[in-house]
Amino acid sequence: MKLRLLLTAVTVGAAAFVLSGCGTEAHRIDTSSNQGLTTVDDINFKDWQIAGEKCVKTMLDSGVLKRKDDRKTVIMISTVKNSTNEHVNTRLLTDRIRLAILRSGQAVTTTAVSGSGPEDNASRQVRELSNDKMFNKSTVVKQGTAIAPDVSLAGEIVQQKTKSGRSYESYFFIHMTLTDLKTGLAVWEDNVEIAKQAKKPWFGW
Amino acid sequence: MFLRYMKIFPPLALLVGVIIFSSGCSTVIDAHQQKSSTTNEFYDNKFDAAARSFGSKADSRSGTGDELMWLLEQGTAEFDAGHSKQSLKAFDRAVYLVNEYDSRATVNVRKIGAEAGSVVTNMNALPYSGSILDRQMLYAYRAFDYLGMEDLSGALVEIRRMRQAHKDSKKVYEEKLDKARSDIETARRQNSKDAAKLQNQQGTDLTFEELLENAKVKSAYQSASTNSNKLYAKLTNPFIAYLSAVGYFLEGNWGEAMVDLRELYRMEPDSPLVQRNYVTTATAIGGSVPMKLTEVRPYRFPLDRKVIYVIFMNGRGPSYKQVKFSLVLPWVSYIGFAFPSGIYSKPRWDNLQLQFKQHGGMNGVKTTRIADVNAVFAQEYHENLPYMITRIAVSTLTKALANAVAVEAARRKGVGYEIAAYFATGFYAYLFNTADTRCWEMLPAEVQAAQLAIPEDRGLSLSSSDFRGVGKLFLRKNGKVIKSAKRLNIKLKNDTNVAFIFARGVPAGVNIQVFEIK
Repeated sequence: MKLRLLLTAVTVGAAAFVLSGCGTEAHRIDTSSNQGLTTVDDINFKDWQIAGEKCVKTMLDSGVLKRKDDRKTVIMISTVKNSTNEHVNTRLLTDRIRLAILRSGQAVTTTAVSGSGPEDNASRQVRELSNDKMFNKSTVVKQGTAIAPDVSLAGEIVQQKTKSGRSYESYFFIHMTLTDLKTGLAVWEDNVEIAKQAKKPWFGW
Repeated sequence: MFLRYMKIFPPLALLVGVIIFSSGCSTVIDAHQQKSSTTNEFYDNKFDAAARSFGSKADSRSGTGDELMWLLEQGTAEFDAGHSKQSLKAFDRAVYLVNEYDSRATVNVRKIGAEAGSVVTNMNALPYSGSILDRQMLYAYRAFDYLGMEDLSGALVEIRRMRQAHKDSKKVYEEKLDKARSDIETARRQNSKDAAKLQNQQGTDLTFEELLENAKVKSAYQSASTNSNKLYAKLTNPFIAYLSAVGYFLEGNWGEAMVDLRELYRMEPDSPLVQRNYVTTATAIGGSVPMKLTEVRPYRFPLDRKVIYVIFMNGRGPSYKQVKFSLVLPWVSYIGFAFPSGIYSKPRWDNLQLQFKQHGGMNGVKTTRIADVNAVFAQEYHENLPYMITRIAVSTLTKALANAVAVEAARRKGVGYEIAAYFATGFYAYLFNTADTRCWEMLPAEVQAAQLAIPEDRGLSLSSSDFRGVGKLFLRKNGKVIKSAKRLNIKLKNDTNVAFIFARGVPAGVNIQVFEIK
């Protein structure tokens, strides 16, 4: 009788331990490690990192940003079209690329103009101050001084989802282009493929 | 003696309580009946009150098998009331539940529990995971929500998800059908075992053909057949094809839009709107136009800029009502069945008329039907009914046979036991003889649409009528009725590139929302 009671207590205790011990406390992870979560339907932060690094490397290696004159190439960040089934913020990719380009010293980016309007409207706003009596006109930035972009960075992200039996996968295709705004020709193109797969468990809660 | 019988009631009541709590109230009171007062509020044009009521139901049913159904109703009422953000919040949870349901392990503890619950109660004990129609329309409504927040890019994501849901429909439908077939077989095996314990085994199995001999079943089956549209193939929905084509227009992808329009033209060949879109797109991509459409003029304005899309959700959507019938079987005097039967309503309003200035004179367009939601619903119901009703019948037989075996065993113990067993099994059969009427009732009866270029002066005059006369229009903005009139004048902003006019027709009038995208 006592043995049965003991066995029951151990079984209930073990079940309680298994059920309650599944969670972990919130903790920071190293963004350069592989500790981040991987989900099939989303582009996770590691995917953005991989895509950004690949694009930056091939763009800088191609030499398209180097100019014959002393001036640095001015890049306009145009639109990265989201053609996926998920709501994604494409700045996670473009900001990474623009920062790496800036650090390379080969080019600078403009914030006065971008695919979805100016990223920083201040360049336009300060020029409008010349009509404002409050400001000393000689200190107001003059018209015609902003530098127009030479090239524009654009792209598209496409997703294809497939299911077969218990397995399901997502394939993301990220295509980036750099267009010479003078000629309209693409001077650099690259793509990054991300494929992720998972299998629905056979048994579970 | 009496006290001894009374001892079984507390645990029995507890068991019944646990089942009702975990599966939602619909195991006892059918969902259509539970929703009726709020649904009536909605169709009385009290969208805010309906949204609040559905929201509080969704909160109180959180975690139960009925939660998804309440969220779908709440999301629609919130959108129609002009609360896009709240609507999206409800639909976010709905998407989470659908995805969570689909990603569950093949064999999972919750499913086993729900299956066990459905065996001892009824189909309402299984979690509501959404019909094919629900799953497609969920993303369409989410796209509307994003448009309501002036986020075209977000709306296009939802349209892509809607296409994916449409693509996955076949798989979801086949899985449901396989499940129904396997449940029927399992129940039949169990019934055969139980029937062997009874002296008279006549009528211990029922086929769909036998059930169809019943007048109520026959009427439900025929009504679904009458209301379905033979041109709509299995699992297709013309509105999904139309919205998908609009999404492609806005992305400038004419080739893909053509694929949707071919499907749409097959389903709605007489719709002038479908015909003109077909011809416009075919002309744009250099494709061929069917002989019947050679006289149809293409649109003379772009479909991706300076354009207005009008979507008119008209009338009271299809739903289920509970129908009960009984059969007299030799081994038990009476056996009651409850099953869902479709209710189809005709929309009150003929169309929405839009008048505008063009080339110095007045011009006008009317919305025309692009999807008969009653027919889509009826088609799915008609396909499902043979499996659904057979499943209900054999599982009801399982319970009746178990009851009969229990009564037989009690009879051998004595008269008192037999009376108690009769009372308990009778109460139990009465309590859980409830049909699964869960569905999305806030959908419209039909969807109409129109397309026009943004007028030179950006002004539009809207009206709607039926055979009784001109109806009242209510302009809603940010959850408030800001204007109401029989002829509603609206003016679009200077920088509007694409405008969506959403209309919701209920008997009291037509509610208008205008979403402008720069």
